[in-house]
Formats: sequence, C-alpha cells, structure tokens
Amino acid sequence: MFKIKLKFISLIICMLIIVSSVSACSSKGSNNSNAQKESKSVTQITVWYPWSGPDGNVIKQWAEDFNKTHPNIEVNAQLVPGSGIGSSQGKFHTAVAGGNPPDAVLYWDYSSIPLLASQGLIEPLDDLLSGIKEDGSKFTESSWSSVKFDGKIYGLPEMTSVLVFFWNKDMFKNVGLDPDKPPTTLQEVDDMAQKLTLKQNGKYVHFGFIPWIGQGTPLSWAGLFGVQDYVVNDKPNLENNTGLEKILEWEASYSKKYDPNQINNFFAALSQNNADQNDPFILGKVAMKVDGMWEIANIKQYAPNLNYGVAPIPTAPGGKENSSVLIENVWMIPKGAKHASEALQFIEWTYDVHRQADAGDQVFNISPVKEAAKLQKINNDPKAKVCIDLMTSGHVSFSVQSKATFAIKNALDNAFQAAQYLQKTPQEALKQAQSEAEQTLAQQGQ
Amino acid sequence: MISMKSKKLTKYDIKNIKRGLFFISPWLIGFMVFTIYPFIASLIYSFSVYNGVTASKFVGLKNYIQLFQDPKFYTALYNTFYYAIIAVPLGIVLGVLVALLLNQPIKFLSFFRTAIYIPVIVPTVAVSILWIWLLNPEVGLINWLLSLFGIKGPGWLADPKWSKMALILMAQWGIGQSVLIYLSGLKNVPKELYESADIDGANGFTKFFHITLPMITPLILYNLIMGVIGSLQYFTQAYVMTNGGPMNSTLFYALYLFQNAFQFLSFGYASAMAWILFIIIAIIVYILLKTSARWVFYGGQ
Amino acid sequence: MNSQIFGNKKSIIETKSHISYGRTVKMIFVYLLLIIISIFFLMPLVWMISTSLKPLNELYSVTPHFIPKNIMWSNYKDAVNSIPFFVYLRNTLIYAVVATFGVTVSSFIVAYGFSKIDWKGREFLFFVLLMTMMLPPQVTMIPVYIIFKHLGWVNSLRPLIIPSFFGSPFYIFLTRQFMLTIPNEFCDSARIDGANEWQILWKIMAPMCRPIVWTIIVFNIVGTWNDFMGPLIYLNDESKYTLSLGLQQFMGAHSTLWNELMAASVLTTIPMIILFFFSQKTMLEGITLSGGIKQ
Repeated sequence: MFKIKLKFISLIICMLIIVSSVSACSSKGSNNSNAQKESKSVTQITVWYPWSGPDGNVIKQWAEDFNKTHPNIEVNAQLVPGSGIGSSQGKFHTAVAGGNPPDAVLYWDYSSIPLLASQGLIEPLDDLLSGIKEDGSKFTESSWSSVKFDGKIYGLPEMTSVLVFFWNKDMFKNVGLDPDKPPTTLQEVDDMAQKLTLKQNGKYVHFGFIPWIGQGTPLSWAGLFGVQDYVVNDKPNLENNTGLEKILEWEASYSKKYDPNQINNFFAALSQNNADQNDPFILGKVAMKVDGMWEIANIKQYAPNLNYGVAPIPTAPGGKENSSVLIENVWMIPKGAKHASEALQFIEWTYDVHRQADAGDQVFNISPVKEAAKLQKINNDPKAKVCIDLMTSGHVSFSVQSKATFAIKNALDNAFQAAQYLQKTPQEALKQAQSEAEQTLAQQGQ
Repeated sequence: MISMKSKKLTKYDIKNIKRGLFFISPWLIGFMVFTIYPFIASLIYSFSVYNGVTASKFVGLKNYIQLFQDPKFYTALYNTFYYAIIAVPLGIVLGVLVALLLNQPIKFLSFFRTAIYIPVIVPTVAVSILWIWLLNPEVGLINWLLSLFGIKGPGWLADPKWSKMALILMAQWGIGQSVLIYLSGLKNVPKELYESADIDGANGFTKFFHITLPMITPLILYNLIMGVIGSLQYFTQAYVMTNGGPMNSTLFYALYLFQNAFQFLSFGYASAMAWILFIIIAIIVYILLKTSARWVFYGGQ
Repeated sequence: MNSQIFGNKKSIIETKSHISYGRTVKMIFVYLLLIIISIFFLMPLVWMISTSLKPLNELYSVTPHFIPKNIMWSNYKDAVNSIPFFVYLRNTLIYAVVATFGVTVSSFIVAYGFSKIDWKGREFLFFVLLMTMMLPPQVTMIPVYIIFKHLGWVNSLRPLIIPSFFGSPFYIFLTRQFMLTIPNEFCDSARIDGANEWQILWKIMAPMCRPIVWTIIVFNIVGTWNDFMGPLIYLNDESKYTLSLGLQQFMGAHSTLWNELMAASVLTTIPMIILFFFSQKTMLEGITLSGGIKQ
C-alpha cells in the first residue's frame, strides 16, 4: 500500500517537473523564435573561455560591449573549465569530433597549438587574416612568433605574461645579504641559497631556492639556458643533449645538497598541484623563486605586507641577459567552426589599444599589442614595470613549436623528476626520456 | 521433476523466455540504441590510428603490438593491480564491519548512518583538498596520529613508494556506499532465524558466521564484482590529485588511457588499451561469478 | 518439554545476567567505535564549513585552524550572487529527480527479469549486462556523443536523463542480487494462486524491496547531483549548467576563491544530507520477511 502511494506521489512530482521544464523550454523557445523573426540577420557566435575570476570577467565584458555596438553579431561568451582542452577531459575534442565546436576558443597555453594543429583540430588562419589585412605587426615579437606553426598562423594572442624572479627582502636582511641587490647569475643564486637555507634539529625551517618549484618547469629552464635543440626536424633530441644535461646536473646539485626526500616532504607540506592555498614564498618558506607576473597581484591580495622584490631572472650559463619566459593565452578557431570570420571580427575588435590597456591592467598581465602595453597604468608599479620591460626589450623565450613538443614535454617532466629524486643520473634520465618521447610519437602514428 | 537433457525448447521454456525478455526489454532496447554502436566503434578504433576528429586509418594490430612494447603500459597495469588487490578486499571487510556496527540496537542510529555516508555526498573537490591536508607529511592528521605511537609517517602523496597507499586509504572513506547496501540486506534477515539460534544457545560469533554472513553474501558478491570493475578503472582521484606522479607511481591504467586519448590524441592506441582492460576485467569477473556458487547463499534456494 | 524448561531455569537466569553484563561492555565498545569513525568521516563537512566562513587572508596558514578569526557569513551571499546559483539548482533538481525516477523504476523491472523468472539465455544476457560496465568510458565518449548529436539532444539534459529510463547495469545488478535473497516461495505461491508476473512484481516484490529501492534512489540522486562529466560534455549554455559545473566557476586563472567555493559546496551538499537523514528511518526499518505478506 505504502509502495503504491509512494509511486503515485513520485509520479505526480515527476509530471509536475516535466511539465514545468517543458513549459520553461517552450517559453524560451518561443522567445528565441520571436527574436529570430525580428532580426533574421543576427549571427550568433559562441566563444569558449577557460576560467572565471578577473581574467574571465574581461572576456565576458568584452562580449557584452561588442554586442552593444554590433547589432548583427551576437557573441555568446561561455565559461568552460579549461576550455575543454586542459583540465576538462575532452569536451573540446568531443565537440569538434561531433561537429559542434565553438566558433572560437581561448586557451591559456600557446604551446598546445602544434599538437592541435597537426592533428587537424584547429584551422589555419592565414587566408582569413590576409583578408582583413592583419599582418601581426602590432603585436610584440614573441607573442606573434609563438602562434605560428609549420609556416602557418594558427592562433591570435589574447594576453601575455612573463616569468620573473622573486626574492624575499626580509629574509635577505636576516642573513646579512643586501636586500636591494638580488642575484644576477644562477651561480650567485646557488651561493645565496646556501646562506638562506636554515636547518634546525635536523629539519629544514626554510629554503633559499629550489629550481623546480613555482614555474620552474623543464622547458622554461631550457629556454633560459638557451637550449632550443631538444627537437630537431620534429624528432626528439634528448639523449646526449649537453644543454639539457647541464640543466639536470644543476637541478640535481640541489637534491644532493639538501636531500630530495626532505625537499619533497617540505614542499608537499605546502602547496600541492593547484592548491595554491599555502604558497611557500608567501609564507616565507622559500627565499627566492621563479614565477609568473600574476603573483604580484596575488601577493597584493593575500599578503600585502610581504617585503619582496621582483627582478629579471638571473642569467643562466649559456643563456642571455635579461631573459624571461613567455606565458601566453591564445585564441584559436576550431575545425568546423561555422562563423569563423565573425569570430575573427570580434577578436580583432578587442585589439583596440585602450581596450587592451584596460584589460591588461585588470588582470595584471601585459597586452600583446605593443602600443597598448605602453599605455598600461601598471607601468607605474615598479614591480610590474620590471616585467613589462622584460617583455618589450628583453629576451623572451618560448617553447619550440613542433608537433613533437608535447610528447617531449611529457617525457622531460618524468626525466626531470627522476633526476630530482636522484633516481637516475642526468644521462640515464635523458636516455629514458628519448625512448619515451619516441614511443609516444609512434603511438600517435607519427 | 525428471530433467530431460533435451535441446528442444518446450512450450513452457518459450513462454518463460518471452516473459524474461519482456521484463528486461528496457535494458535490452537501451543497450541496442546507446551501447552497441560505441562499443563496436571503439573496437574498430583500436585497430586504427585515430585522433578523434579526422578519419581513422586502419593499421591492424599495430596498436596492440606497440602496447606490449610500452613500458608505461606495464607500469600502469602494476599500479592498477596494486591498488585493486589491496583496496577491494579492504573495502569489503571494512564495509561489512561498519554495517554490522550500525545494525546494532543503538540510539542516534540516523546520525551515525548519515555521518558514515557524508564523504560520499561531499563534492570531490572538497574531499581531495581535505585529504591533501590529512596526508600532509608535516602537519597532517595521519602522520600526527602515527607520531603518537612513535612512528615517523612517510611523505604519502609526495613519496613514490607510498602514494598508492595514500590513495587506497582515501578510497576507504567511500565505504558508506557499500555499508548502505549491506544494511538493506541485513534488514532482510528474518528475525526468527536469530531467535531460534538464541534458543539453541548460539553465541554472537556463531550467529554471525552461520546466519548473518551467509544472508548477505549476494551483496558481498555485488560489492566484490563492482569493486573489481571500479578499481581496475580507477581514475578520478589520480587525475585530480596527483596526475600520475610522483614519478608515475600513480599512473593508473585508466589515467594513462585518458592521457593517450585526450592529451596525446592517440585515440586508436587508447582504444586498444581499453579493450585489453575489458578482456582482463571480463575474465576476472567471469571467474568470480563461476566460483561464487560455492560461497554465495541465495535465500531463494 | 516442561521439565526441560524448569530444569534449565537456574542456568538461564545465570546466563541472562552474564549476557546483560557482556552486552553492556559490547555496547560501550560499539558506541566508542562509532563515535571515532563518525568524527573521522564528518571531517570533510566540518572542514568545508570552516573554510567557507574564512576571509581570504586566513586561507594561507601552514597549520590549519578550524575556527576562523573573522567569521564571514558574507561568503555565502557572495557565492550565491557570483554564479546563477538558483538557475543551476533548478537544472540540477530536474536532472536528479527525473533521472532517478527513471532509473529506479526501470532497473527494478529489469532486475526481476534477471532474478525471479527462470528462462534460457538469462545468464548469458546477464553477463552481457555486466560486460557493458567493463569498457572504460573514455573511449566511448565520442561515439556516444555522435549518437546524441544525431538525435538532436546535445545542449540539453536529455542525453543524461532519457537513457536512465532504460535501466542502469549498476542498479540492475544490485537489485537482482537483493531479489535473489528473497525466498522463491513468495513468488511461487502467488503463481499458484494465478497471479501473473507483473502483479507479482508490484504487489509482492515491491514492498519487500523497499530498502534496496530507497538505497538506489539515494545513490542516484547523490550521483546525479555531483555528476560533472555528463553535464560538462552535453551542456553548452551556461543557463543550463548544473551545480557541479557551477562550482568550477570559482576557479580563476591563477587563484581560486576557496572560501566562496566551499560556501557554494556546502549549499550544494546540505539538501542531500537532509534528504538522506530524514528518509533513512522510514526506508531501512520495519521490513521483515516473515509476516510481511498477506495470507
């Protein structure tokens, strides 16, 4: 009896919900058809962007402003975590494969272009761009070079940033180092790190420097050490690569000095993956680090009283002076996008110099448009100025745009970890990375 | 009834087949509409080079051969079996024990049952962050508890030797799901069985092993099979928390499969991986089912 | 008979007091274990609530503390305002309720066919059912998406809701196991009385399966409530997003608003805790096989 009553009640509830949802759908549907009857010539385009926060709000705002002034194009800016490419498990690929892609997609990693392009998931833009006379001259050199692959243009810069060197002035003072004189070479970093590392009762209290925390990724260091031959003719060149060996030996020297298990446990106790709650630099657990310009904004918000400085990354052996590493968000047009030219119209509209300067200030990044970067108000912030100068007049490196780069990046991540844990010598690690990268490329059918 | 080993279907048989098919028809229809095509498609992909978008190229057994030459394939298998062999039995034992605890005549039963189930309800992101703190080598609760016994806790997620164990521990938080299943089964045990056992002077242990346990063996079998299927496809936590590291110690099979599919865009290769796993799981489950007759007691018989 | 009882009376009384002492010790032990386990299992909820009430600058601390120095109830207001919370809630409700209704009823019907009717080919098809769970879903994602694209169901909840009306192997298997614990006599005697299978299913099996049906309802509501992958792949309109997708929107490019994210998570979790807490007694208790059947 009870069961029958329950069935009956749940049936009613379900019918109510179905009725209400259908009516909601149909009312929306009728609104749509009304709108369509009124202005048949409105082209609706969809644009995916990967995150919320200030960066995402910029995109939303751009879409709103564009729609106000462009009556025949309606931009629907949609927040899709990771744009379905990184951290969203295949939504982008499913949409493209299913013939239902967005008209443009914004992604935070320009280095994904080669793989997506070589596999045909994104479209080359040369024809469309020459049609609207875009030759890239308004962009900074590194931001424009990095969107090219295989002789074609596959993306457009949205926002750029650089990696810089951070140091904790108070910690410098405490060990007798001049707080206003950061290291200018990596050798100096090693020496200062020694002084800035404190061990008590067999446990580390704080470290001076560890190469692989923050944004110290293998390819970043490769750029800083001037090593660009890790891929030759789209084939991995990792084994016996002296440049990479040098970097690995330098990183391993830290493990040998301070014991890899202690280092890893120490930093595991702080931030992990994307859990940026307990950033070691902010907590005064590490005195120096290489990290992105955006950290300046973070520190302002979370630890405004931190006494620190920002400087160009100390020169590495074999590297150039005033070096830094490019970080760039790029727009891409997926294969099968139905309104590519309208999407490009929107993207080009965002390159208005004042618009770019405002956006760059909002997100504490550097606009890829040269004139806009000069106008940005954050130029008045001495720390930000360091970054902007590096971008416009320093040597900005970016990863080699080859279809093999992604496989190489993966293999190097593993190799570097093995060297950091002192599980393998640099030579062994690179040998393993070589076969791993080759294996991955073979699996891709290349 | 004389059972005649006749291959001919009697009218009674046919009637029963019709009845059976009628009842399972919802599943059967859904299977044919939503499941068959994707299964066949992925099988075809496993014999091709395919990036998920442009047309695939048939390459025969190449993917499978490459798979057997891939060191990460073996690493992934090892990690996955390591996890499954420990996590599944552990989960079953803990699940049954906790269900028994909750089957006692205690006050605040609703509260305790809810508490046990809460980790299953809480969003994954919160669970992951919380466990990262719990397993923190310096200030985490687990190592603190160990230190009370004079044991120095390991680096857990940061230590390649302990990372899988950390994930296994974390998985035990989800036993609330199996506990509920056992509880519904325990409720079904007829009270008269216990009463007559009491009269016969049985003690707690005997009652447990001869009445309680046999009555819930069908549900234990369920959790065992689902545990095998689930643990051999373990993915989400490794993806969210460790991404296979450190040093590939948490590179589980499904995670490596996912990387091949959506990061390296080697769909054909990933499909080959999927079908190998399918065969492995099918064999194990088949064996479990066939041997289950020996220890599973169906109240129907 | 009588002499047996009287003869054992003394030993029964002795045994009884011995039992009651042993029982008390046992119960204390049980309560102790349950309290320890509960504290441990309640931690995620406590931590979520604690984080949700913290201001941003208290999130950065090496030793976590549970009670915030500044209790920010405003985090809840901000969380609800920064994403279209109630739109997402409505979408999630529709998904959860309709899909759960569909999967519960259909799995129940199918499970009966796999357990209480004896027919040739049953075990074979049952193994096929199990096999559908053995292929990692990552490789079928794209073909499945193409099916739904051809049906025109993309950018709606239909790919997630409608298939549930065809049963889920997960729940069919579970219900089948449960039904197999029920002695066949109940069905057999009804068959002798002339009832057909459909009547047996609803009039006899249904009341006895109440605990497992309720379990499935709870499992599926929780599962759909927290389902991230399904809505991610099939929903293209922010106005159609569910709560699980909404939670992702607190993750910015270089920092995450953990406190607001946790506030939203708490708001997401509470309805289900309430659902669970108040329904469990009705569903789990009061079912006994003996005497539960008429005549």
